[in-house]
Order: sequence, then C-alpha cells, then structure tokens
Amino acid sequence: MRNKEVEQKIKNAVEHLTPDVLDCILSECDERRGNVYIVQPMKRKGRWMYAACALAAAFVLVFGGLSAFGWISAHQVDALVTLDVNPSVELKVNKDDRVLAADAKNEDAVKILDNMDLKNTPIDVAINALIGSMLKHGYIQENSNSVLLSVESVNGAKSAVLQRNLTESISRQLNRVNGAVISQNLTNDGELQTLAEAHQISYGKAALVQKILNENSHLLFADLAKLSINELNLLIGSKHIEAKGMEAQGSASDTAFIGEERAKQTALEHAGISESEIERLRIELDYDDGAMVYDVEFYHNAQEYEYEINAKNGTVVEHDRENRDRDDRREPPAAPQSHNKDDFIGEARAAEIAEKHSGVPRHTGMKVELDKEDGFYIYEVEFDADGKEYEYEINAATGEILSWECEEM
Amino acid sequence: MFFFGMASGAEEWSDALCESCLGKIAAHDKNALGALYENTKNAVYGFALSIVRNTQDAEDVLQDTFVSIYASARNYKRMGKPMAWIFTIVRNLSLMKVRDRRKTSDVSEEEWRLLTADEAPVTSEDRLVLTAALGKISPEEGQIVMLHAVAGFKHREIAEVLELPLSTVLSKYNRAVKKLKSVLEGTGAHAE
Repeated sequence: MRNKEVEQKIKNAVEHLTPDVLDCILSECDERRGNVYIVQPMKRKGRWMYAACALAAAFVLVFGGLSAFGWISAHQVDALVTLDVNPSVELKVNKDDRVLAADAKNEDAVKILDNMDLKNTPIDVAINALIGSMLKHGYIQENSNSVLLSVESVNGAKSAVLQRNLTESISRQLNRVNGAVISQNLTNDGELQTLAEAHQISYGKAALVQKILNENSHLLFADLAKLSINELNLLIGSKHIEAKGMEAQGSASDTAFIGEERAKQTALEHAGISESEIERLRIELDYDDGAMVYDVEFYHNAQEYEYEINAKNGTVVEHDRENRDRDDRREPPAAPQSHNKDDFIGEARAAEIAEKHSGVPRHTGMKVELDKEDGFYIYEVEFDADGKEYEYEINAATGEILSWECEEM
Repeated sequence: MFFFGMASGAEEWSDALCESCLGKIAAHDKNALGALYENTKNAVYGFALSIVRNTQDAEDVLQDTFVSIYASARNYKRMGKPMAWIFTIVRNLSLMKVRDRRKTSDVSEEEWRLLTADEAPVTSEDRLVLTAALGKISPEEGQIVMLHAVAGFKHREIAEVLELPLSTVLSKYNRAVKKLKSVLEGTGAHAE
C-alpha cells in the first residue's frame, strides 16, 4: 500500500464523518452580533413536480370530462433528457416527445440557451439545436469531444428508445469532430440527486461520476465532479468501466494529454530500462492530487515499478520501486541472514548506497536506522533533496536495495 | 445553497480564494462564511478530531472555529497563509477542549458502533481507518497525518502550524504512515 492510498482512506473517512453544522454556526454568529438572520432552507423543486401536478389534475379529470385529457397528457413530464458537455441542459419532455421546458443547469448552459425557444419543439430537433450551438460556441471540439446524454423516465421502454435514437442523431452530428457520446438510462435516486445539487452538477453527470466511483474507491466524488465530461469519458475508457444502461460510442479525445505511449516512455527513461526488458506493463489514466495522471506499472528483475506521470505536462509526479516478493518476506529468506550485527554493512555504507542510487548530490536530514522486519534486518535510510523525500530499505547483510520511494514534500 | 455564488464548483479552492473569503467575512458576509465552511470543514473537523479524539468535542470545535473566524476575520493579516491562521484557531480551541476535560477521552468502541449505525456514509473501512488514525498512533502523529492527508498541507507548513522542526514532522509522519499501513494491511501486531 502506498502512502497516498493510506492518506486517501483517511481523507475519505473524515469526509464521511464530518457533520454539517453550518446552520448552527450562522445562527450563533447572529446571536453574537445581536441581530437575527434567517437561514432560508433551500427549497428543492421536485424533479417530478410537473408529474405530480398532472396527477392532481387527473383527479379533476374524473369530474371534468374527457376534453381535459388531451391537455394533461401534453403537459405532463414523461421523460427528462439531460445533455452535458460542460454546458448542462435539462429538457422536460412530454408523451409526444415534445419539449415542455428547457433548464440551464450551469452558467455555460445559459449562454447556450440564450434566445433559444425550445418549447413545444420535438426532442430530437431540440437536441440537434443544442449540439449545434455547443459546437458553434466551441464547447465541443477536437480536444474535448465528449457529450453525455442522460435519459430518465418512469417508462423504461420509452427511455431506451429515446436513448438509442438521440445517441444516433448526436453521433451523426458530431461526425466531423470525431465526437464521442456516452449515454445512460437513469432511474430516480434521491441521495444522488442531493449529491448532484451539493456539487452543482446535473443529475446525469452525478450518475456518471458514481459509476466511476463504484469501481474506484480511492477517488472522491468532489474531485470527479470538477472534471469535464471528456475527462470522465477518458477515465471510463481507460479503466474499462461498464455499467447497466450505459453505452459509449466513439472515443474520447486525449489530444489535450501526452497519451499513454509518451507516459510509458517517460517512465522507462526515468527508470533507465528499455521496453524489451519489462513485463506486465499496465497503463491507466487516473486522478490524483488535483490532476489527471497516468499510472504506469511494470516489472523488471523481480522488481515492481510504479510511476505517476502528469497527463498534461508529462512530469514524473511520483515513482517507486519495490521487490515483488517483498510481501512474502514473512517466509524465511532464501539465504538465512546472520543475526550478528558485526556482519552487517553498517549505517555509513547503507547511507552511501542510497545516496549513490538517488543520484542527488546535496541532501539534508539524513537518517539511517537498523530495523527488524519479520525477523529480517534492514537499514531504513531517509533524506530530503530538491523538495523531495527519499526513503530506502536496504538488506542489512548484503547491501541490496529492497525498495525505494521518492515523493514530493 | 445560498452561498454558491461565491464558490463556484469549477473554481479550485486556493489560498487566494480563502483570503478573499476572509476579507468578505470581516465585513460580515455570510455567504463568504458559507463558502469558507464548505471548502474547509473536512480539514477543520479532521484536525480537531486528531487533537480532541472524540467526535462530540470535534463537532463543537468545528462549530466554534467558524464562529470565531466570523468574529475575528478582521484581525487576519494578509500574508498568503490563511489556512495556517485557521488551523491555529482550530488548534487553540481543541487544546482548550482537552484542557477542560483534563484528559483526552479516546473514541470508545461503543461510540464507533453508534456512529456507524447512525451515519450511513461512514463505512466499515472508514471505521477501521479512523480507529487506526486516532488510536494506533500518537496524538501528535495523528495531527501531522490529518494535516497532510485531509488539509493537503506540505510538511513544512505542518511544521509551522504545530511549531515543530521540519525534521521532527518528517520522521513522525513517516513513522505514523508506516504504522497505519501495517494496521490497514492487516499486520497490525508487527507495527506496535
């Protein structure tokens, strides 16, 4: 387990445990200032409010006669269709697949919807207009080519048909920019809805983020919520995420990133190993410490190398190497190690080995400690250089480097 | 919520934003206080928890910290280190709590059981992690780990807040993470 993973677990746990006391804070602040400030509870408009109204109206219908029926069915929300690029637009659709209302879910969407009256427009025409406007405004382009389409309806068959038809029409429209469409079919989930509102993203984007989190517990909702649909789509592709009701067409553009090939080369160059010498190479896009990174892992001479390469600028963010069989060290070592400390290489020599390996001439805070792990003696060598922290484990008898780690301080 | 105009989701939380929030809070801007709260509550709560070591006191400190920030934001001097200023408040309030109780009362098994029963978002892994971070390492190590993991502080920033030499912070941090790793990897006995 890496330090980062331990820290991520702590971070997640604290996030889950932190209580919400903002209301108490605000009222206490007012008491101290001697005035009264009323905290307005946030009113959540039910997503199905239109449907509820229609239902209420349906009772009237019993007495009102059949003439009202046409009016109700035309004004009843039968499906919600959300389009996310960065602009996020939610469309309420009636039984006849016509738009009842179009809501901008973020500021970019306000620009997109400017002067556009989509009311009563067939849904496919509305989507076509929206995609056209997003292309025109540069929200969809070569290096950010992903669109998320989310369809939600109590009528499952209707969702599926809308999902398929609209995906096809968007794909056709995005042909010239090699666009990618992720589509998903959603059901109502109150908890997810609350999360979406708290992070100011659409319910559709929240559902997509949740799908990634389901298979990647080290990531955080808040972090992924900030990513663009294109970045999320790249993560989905790279991590081979599959989910019921989700379909991906086309591939997300990674031209804003250095690409897997360059990430691999960067790691190999840093390790000083050629590609033919390594095995079990694995490259995956990930998110760490506020940035998209490539995780590059491979094995060489029974050592596991792990690199984190910044996906945008190609710098090595983190790297470490560990003996592959280190976890099995509880087993007696192949060659029994002498317990006579006179046979050990000594702290000075251990420090020298680590220094030489790190290749940094000036460092501070050198610390060497003899430690016994599972009946096996090692020197732990630690020092800092160039704002980085180096940590080595060295076989006390042979001077072999068992593992090393280098991390930004 | 009502303060969202301040901290737009797309904007990365930074020292500069934090300072601008404090400036507005000094003029009694509640929206700014809300934005500051949303962006720092986890770090404040985590750090408080690592000192007072029980959830009730940590919750009190969380609340008192922001009330205190609201009252004293005008005393903050812009030096580019707003988070260090906030954590000094958290630390002082937490230490006062500990003094009040004369001793730290660690989180009991019973409390954890209740917590995990009531608070749906707290998973069994969270429980394991927090029990380790609060029980298996020293209070000072816990504070260092919290500041590094939850607040995202660099080691030298932690050294400033805790008034410790950098080398001490580094070695304590390494020790602590090593112990936590062995607890989480299920080889806890070895770490002791």
